[in-house]
Amino acid sequence: MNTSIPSGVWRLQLGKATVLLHRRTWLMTLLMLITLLLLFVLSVSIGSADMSMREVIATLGGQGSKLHEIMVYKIRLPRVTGVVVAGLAMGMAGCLIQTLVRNRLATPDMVGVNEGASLAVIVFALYLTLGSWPWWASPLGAALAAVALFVLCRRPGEQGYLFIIIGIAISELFNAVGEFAMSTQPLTHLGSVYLWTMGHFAHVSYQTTQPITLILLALCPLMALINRPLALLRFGDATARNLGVNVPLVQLGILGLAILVASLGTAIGGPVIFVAMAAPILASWLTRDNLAPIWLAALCGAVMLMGSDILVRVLAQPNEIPTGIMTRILGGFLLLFLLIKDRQWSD
Amino acid sequence: MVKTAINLPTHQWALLATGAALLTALLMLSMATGAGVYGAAQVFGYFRGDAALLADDKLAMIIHTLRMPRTLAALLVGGSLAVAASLLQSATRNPLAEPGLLGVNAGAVMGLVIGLIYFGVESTQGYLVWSSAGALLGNLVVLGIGLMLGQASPLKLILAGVALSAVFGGLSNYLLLANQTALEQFRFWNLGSLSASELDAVRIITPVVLVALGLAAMLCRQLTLMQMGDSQAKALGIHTTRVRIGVLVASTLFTACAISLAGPIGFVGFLAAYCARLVEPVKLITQMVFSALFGMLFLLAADILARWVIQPFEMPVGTLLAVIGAPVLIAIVLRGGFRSLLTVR
Repeated sequence: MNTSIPSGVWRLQLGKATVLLHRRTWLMTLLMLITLLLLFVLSVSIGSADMSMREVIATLGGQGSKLHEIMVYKIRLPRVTGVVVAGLAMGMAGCLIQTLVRNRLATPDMVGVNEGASLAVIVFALYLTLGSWPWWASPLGAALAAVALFVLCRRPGEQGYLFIIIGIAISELFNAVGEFAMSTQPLTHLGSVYLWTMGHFAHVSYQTTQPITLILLALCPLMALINRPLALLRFGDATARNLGVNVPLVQLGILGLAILVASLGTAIGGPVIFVAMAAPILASWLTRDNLAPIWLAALCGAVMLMGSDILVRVLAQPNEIPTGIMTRILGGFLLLFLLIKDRQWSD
Repeated sequence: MVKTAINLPTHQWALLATGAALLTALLMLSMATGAGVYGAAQVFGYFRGDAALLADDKLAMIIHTLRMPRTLAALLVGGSLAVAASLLQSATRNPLAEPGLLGVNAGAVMGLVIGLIYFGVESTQGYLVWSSAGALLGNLVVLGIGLMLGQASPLKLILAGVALSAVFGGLSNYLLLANQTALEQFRFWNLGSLSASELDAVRIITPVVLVALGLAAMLCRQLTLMQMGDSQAKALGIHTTRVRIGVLVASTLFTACAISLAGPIGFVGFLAAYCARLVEPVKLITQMVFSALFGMLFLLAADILARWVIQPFEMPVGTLLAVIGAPVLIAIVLRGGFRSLLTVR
């Protein structure tokens, strides 16, 4: 049988099944993976005590000195893995919601989902003395924010900037309530919570990252399942329905998934904004395709968050500045650029 | 009937009188509440010149260093932000515009932080200069973007303001945390609070606010005519660029004054200017008078509330206003109120 293969695609023969792989997408995935690995090693090597990248690799391979082992495993790895997991989660969540709402600016960090998640964590951390970080509270707040948002905007796909402005007002509101909760406590009592609300990864521990990673891994099959109907949704609801997609079910599933993933990503290092917005944009720029696959968006999220984290640590030495401040500065510029570039799109 | 030089419909006179009466009541309440055991009777006795009360050092201290400065600061800041919002709303023809939402507040904060950290500024005059520089930068960028985007996208301009706030806010937080200044004190100021106002600062800021008010009053007529569009205004002989520069200067001064006294306070300008436009949609001079009145009323009421909600702690008034203002913003956006300025009345 002689079927024609579209250009730019790899054909993979596995017994009887044939898999077509988008060449550009996979090359870019590989590129992002390598970048992430490099940044990972670089990130572990940076810190108050000097350590070369070679030493980092040796230590990770189990051949480092005792001191290096303690430095890597006890101090630096928790932070770096936290950044990777949070970045992956944010990239994923951003890609899901952007595709669902068909709006580049509609991401959990812009429309208040992250702020809702962090508010829940703050409230549980401040008012219930639990002894451990209440990361599990984050989906509650995120769901609350999402419900508020969708009650107010029934058809977000058709409302463009309106949806975003409402989302921003909701995040201002949650933010203010969070500040209110914190202002009832003296700063010494607040400790790391205050820095966490700006997006800080210095105090991340495995107790938080581990369960979140496990949940995210458990969600992966669902992601794979949803990738195809997600790709079909961009042709519009009617077309997707004709192509055999159960539209309301898929939409609800994507939304629920996105909120859960976004809130878990927030629970690690706080409400880091603009990563979820920027990651899918970078991914689609890399693939030259308006809709990049979820995994690539996730990788881009991790690379960007890691890059910001490294940047802020190098620039601010010896001080500890929250990573979220760097993403805010860089992301603000990106948003301005997008708004100016997108001149013809009025509301 | 008394013939007046200013022509106002009766209902507007009535509203103005009610507002003024309410403001007086709030002023008294503001002087009578707060930390310390002194109530209304003692405070008014002090002002009437009761000998026994005049001799009370503690009462004098509370009045002169705590309650009076913050009450006066509330008037100055509320009025400034409200008039600045009215100016920006008509200059950008965007009913959601205000220094806070457009990122001008964040620019002023960044200017002040740079002055504080790199130039060791400690006086009110210094704060004023540096926050003016920051506010000017913010105004230039956001008004420039506004011109670039055109008037077709009021929501987009607000998003640009959000982006600008993120950049400026991120930079000032970065500078502050990297320099380990008194974080506790700054944190409260950065949320917007009147609690640290001083009488000396009020004395220095007042003339600047008055100058800006004068400038705003001069611009009113031209700005009103510019509502019809630039080409129409030019045909009527208005130098639109000159008016825009005037708006830029006035808004910068207002914002800088408010920031130097109380830190960034969002939403109050937007709320006041929005209500003022409901009262008087066309004539800008009347609109600004009402805007200033509402701004003072809202901020004073919010400040009294902020002292009272979570006693013995104090809530930053900016936070309180955000809790009130954000739902109002949502309601207005949902009702499509943001289009009202675009339709010619």
